[in-house]
Amino acid sequence: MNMEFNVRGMDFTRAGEASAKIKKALQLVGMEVSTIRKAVIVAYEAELNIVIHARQGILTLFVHPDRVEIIAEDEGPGIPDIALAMQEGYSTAPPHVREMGFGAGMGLPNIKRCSDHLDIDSRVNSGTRLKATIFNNINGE
Amino acid sequence: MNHWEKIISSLDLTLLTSLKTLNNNARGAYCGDLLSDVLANASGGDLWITIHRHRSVIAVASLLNIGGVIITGGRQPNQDALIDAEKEGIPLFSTPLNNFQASGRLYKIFSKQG
Repeated sequence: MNMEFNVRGMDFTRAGEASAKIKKALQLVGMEVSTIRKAVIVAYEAELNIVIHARQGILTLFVHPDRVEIIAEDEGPGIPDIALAMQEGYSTAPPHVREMGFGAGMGLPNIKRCSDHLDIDSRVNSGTRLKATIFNNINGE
Repeated sequence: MNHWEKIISSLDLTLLTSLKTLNNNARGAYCGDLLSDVLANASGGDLWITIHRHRSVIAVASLLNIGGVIITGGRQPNQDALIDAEKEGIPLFSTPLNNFQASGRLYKIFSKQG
């Protein structure tokens, strides 16, 4: 099964809608509770990264019996230094976004913590592609 | 006093959503104003104490199966946040207490239960 969602930059009125639909889909197919929790955290952080930093992007969900894959691909500024962006606390989010409680520099670290595999490809002034894999562990963790 | 009555009176809460959102008992609490921190650390069934009042709080609360949201400092939620909370069945409260005071009173309640 796969599902695709368009995400628009700076559209905070719809921020989180794609992740909510991803959660419902994963519940419907009967994924483990711990898998769903990790997948929705990855989906929400990736969705908000597009909203906060990019012009637009696409969030895609692939569901396999043994794993969930989430791909976030955007047109945006790109990430010049991925290792730096992975450090907790590093953020380039603007002040009005931080005032809402976003942009604490915890998004990518959260995604990494919840993923079993994570690939990030980015080109400056072009965009970023993130692919996260979460295994559906039947025994919880 | 039942579970919710005790919490509401102890924290001087005003329930802003309908009574039917009080379906399930809260199991604990988490206090945080950074959404990513709450995503990482709050558990399903927790009451979430925060100063924020915009609809993304409800979006995050719904993703995590949060048991209720308490907005502190006498702040009132934005209208769209209130509508979303009702739709998602998440009890939304306001309190005149600040984050520290609200957390302290909830800690007392939940540590006695534990």
